[in-house]
Amino acid sequence: MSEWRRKLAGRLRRDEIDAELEEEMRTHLEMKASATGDPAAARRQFGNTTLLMEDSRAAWGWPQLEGWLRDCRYAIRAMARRPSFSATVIVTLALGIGASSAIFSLIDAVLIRPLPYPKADRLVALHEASPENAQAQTPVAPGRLEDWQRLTRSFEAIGGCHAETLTDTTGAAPERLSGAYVSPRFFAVFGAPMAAGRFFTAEEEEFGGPRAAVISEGLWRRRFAADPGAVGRTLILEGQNHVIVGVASASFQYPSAATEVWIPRQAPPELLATREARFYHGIGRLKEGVTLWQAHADLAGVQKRLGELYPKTDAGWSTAVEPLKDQLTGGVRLAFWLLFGSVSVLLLIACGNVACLLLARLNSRAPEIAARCALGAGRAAIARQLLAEGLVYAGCGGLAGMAAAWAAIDLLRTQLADLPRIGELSLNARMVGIGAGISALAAMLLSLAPIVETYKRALTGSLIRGGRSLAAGGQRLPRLLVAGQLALATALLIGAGLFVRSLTMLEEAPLGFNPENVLTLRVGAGLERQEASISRHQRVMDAVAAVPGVTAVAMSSGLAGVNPAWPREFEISGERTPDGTLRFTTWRIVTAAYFQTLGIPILRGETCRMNTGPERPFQALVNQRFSERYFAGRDPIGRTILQGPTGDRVRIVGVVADAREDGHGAAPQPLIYACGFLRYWPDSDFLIQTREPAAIATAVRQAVQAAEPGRAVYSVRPLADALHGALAQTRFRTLLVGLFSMLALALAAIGLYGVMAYMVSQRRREIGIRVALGARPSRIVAEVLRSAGTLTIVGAAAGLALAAAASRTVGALLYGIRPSDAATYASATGVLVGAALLACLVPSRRAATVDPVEALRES
Amino acid sequence: MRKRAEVPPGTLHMLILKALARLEPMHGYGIALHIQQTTEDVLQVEEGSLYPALQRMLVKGWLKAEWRQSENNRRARYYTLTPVGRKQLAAEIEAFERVVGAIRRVIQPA
Repeated sequence: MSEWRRKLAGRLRRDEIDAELEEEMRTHLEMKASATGDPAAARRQFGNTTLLMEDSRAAWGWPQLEGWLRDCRYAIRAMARRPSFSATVIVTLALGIGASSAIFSLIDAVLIRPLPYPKADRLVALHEASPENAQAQTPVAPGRLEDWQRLTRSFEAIGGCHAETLTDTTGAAPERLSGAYVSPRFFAVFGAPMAAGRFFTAEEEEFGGPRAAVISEGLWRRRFAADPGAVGRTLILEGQNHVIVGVASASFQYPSAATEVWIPRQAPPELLATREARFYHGIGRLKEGVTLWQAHADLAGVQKRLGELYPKTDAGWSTAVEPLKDQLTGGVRLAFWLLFGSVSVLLLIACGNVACLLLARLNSRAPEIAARCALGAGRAAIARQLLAEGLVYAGCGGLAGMAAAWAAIDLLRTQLADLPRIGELSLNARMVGIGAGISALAAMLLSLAPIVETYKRALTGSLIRGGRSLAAGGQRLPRLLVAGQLALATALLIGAGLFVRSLTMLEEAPLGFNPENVLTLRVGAGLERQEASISRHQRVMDAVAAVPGVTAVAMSSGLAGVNPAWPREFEISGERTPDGTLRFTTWRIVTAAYFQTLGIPILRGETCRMNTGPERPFQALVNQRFSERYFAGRDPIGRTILQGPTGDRVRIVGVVADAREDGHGAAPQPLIYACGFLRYWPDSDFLIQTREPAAIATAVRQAVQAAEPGRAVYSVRPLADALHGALAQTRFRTLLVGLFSMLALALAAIGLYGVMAYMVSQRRREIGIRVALGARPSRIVAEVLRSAGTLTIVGAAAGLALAAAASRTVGALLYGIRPSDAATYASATGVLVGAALLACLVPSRRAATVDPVEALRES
Repeated sequence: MRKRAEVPPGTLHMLILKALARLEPMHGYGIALHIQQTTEDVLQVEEGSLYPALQRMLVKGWLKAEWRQSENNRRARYYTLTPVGRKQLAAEIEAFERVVGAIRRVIQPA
């Protein structure tokens, strides 16, 4: 039995222990008395029985813990006695703790927690890379993936997948499913348990094998009500029967949380031999004990050998390996640390603010503390009591803050729905732990100032004076705290200002095309023969064009401004590069009416004629930047471009103005608009020009569904909405930083108000005397303002320096504005000074209206 | 009467354990007597201070206690050592010897 359990057991029979002890001591005295014959001497030698009883009882307790509990109980009583003071403290802390709990939990869920797969730290993402062509990372060709699997030694397994929309015609109405085509070994790499059934057998993964499918837990619930009998049923995907062999567990969310069905790609031999068709997102599981660097070196060595084996296709290509988690969350990491920084600043300000409040109250409590010191309380005991007080306040603030954070979680989940791993953000023990940790930290931070202050005053002996006539020196700590709050608030304001301006620049950036009056939609296509695809697309376009109100219809591979154009190799016919390698540019595949529909001006030449026959070449237009970069001064019209390694030829028939095809924030890149219907172009976007996009959406959907009864019609929405959505994350992030900075400003201003109001109230007597002696109120007011002004200037200057140092790290998140933008710095400082002035209004008025008679009589 | 010395701090536990190791079971008064007699009255143990020490040792599980009739027919609490208590005694003696040895080396004339 451990000591701890013995103490607990002792707690239950405390009275018994006491009685036994008393009896034992009494017996001792009696024995001694009868042995020596002198009861008085016996008692004298025995010592103070009451004290000894106390001591013995202490042996059964936890003296430290009990001391803490006593201090906490005292703090709670003290808190209840001053409800308005306590409410202020708790609300301030709840703001800081709640906001930081929510953001820290978000960061924990997305960035810190391991991926929900067994031994997830060994999962890596694999890419091909072509440094010479500025291609940092591309997907992997299926044949090369098999080579890697065969030749490397560092991996337990290598696999890959690519996301695709699948049309499901199992039910009465065709439905669009989010699917993923997977390579062999895909599920083995993750090693995640299945909710039901199994994953694919080797036979099912090979070309010509039986067709199988694994469905997501979500689809299982939705379609089969989580019936275990779903395994073995058949889904008709892309017109082919697929037997469901398994159900992935709910936490399996690769390649994305939306994926509903996985089917083996069953790559045919000719596709495996085509080493340029790169489409798998490579994944691998490292062997036990293999480091990322070893794996990287291994894979690079293998790829080098492949380069010697296949000089035409593999030379010049290298590889990249990174932890899978980094690949999934890399895009948002910086933005998250920015939120982390700003919410931490908010928490610091809240703690500083409360520390000021506690310091002010310390003065009124000085007699009590002095009395405790006089009665023998050590410095540690006083510190413990102050810390207990901090704990109680932070505990209450933490509880209120956690309640708010729980409410905020849902908001975060809906607002940041596109974020990787956001589904893993939930109320759980970790979140509670985070909240408790932050509260404890806050307690320590805010108790620090009062502890330092009592310690200092105990040294100078000023506790006894009860703080009635504090010299200006006694105000140093609170003033320092307020200056610190002002500095942090300034820095945060500047940061928020930068992001707001950056967002405005983004939203106002000229797109180069007109998203208004355009309705977009997609039709599930799947992989099919090219000839069928051409006639089908033509059929849909004809159906849409017949809808009243439609003025133009076009198709494109990806939405302008939402889906970046694909990078692909090209070669200008007759202008081979010296070393024979291909250059990269971005491509969009469009139909002839694309430029009219989006209002992209054709600068030279004309739009293409659609070439629906099998004969070559296709026609193409290039943007101005392409023309300038690769034809510098010469006429591109009439020239031929070889596309990629396949050598398909396109002939340039026109030059169009630059448009921001890759999104608001991305400057136009050299771009080829190839006109036609190309292969591996499954779900193209239809762009429909009309005066009222929203109004005819239903009519258009019905027309398309009538023309394509066997296919899913989805993502029907105005282009303007899609573009708006593309900025949603940036907008929400900016909103959060803005909100935090406003809260920070408000808290800092309240802090300044508190210190100034306190200073005025402490100096009432002095002011009264001076007024009685003839000082003008304006002079008194000037003095208050000067005091506040010094604080504000010191705080703002420190804040400016802080912002200048910190803003460089967020430069990558800014668009169209430099991190050192002077106007933003100036206006943020202006806002701070304005808030500071407001905060001083009441205290200075109070100082000006001190009635000398009253002030002197009071004391 | 010889001059009496205070029990060096931290050694009370050791004295009690040792007393019990020689003669168990014993009640509190017996322990006090034993310590006084074996130290030939050099060490003065404030008798009452035994009891908080005994309670602490009970909590730590070094001792066991049992109520019995004493030799002169009084009900008294008798203490015995537990195996943990025996181990603790050995450890305390060793630590004490080390300290004393070190001190002795310091105060020895060179």
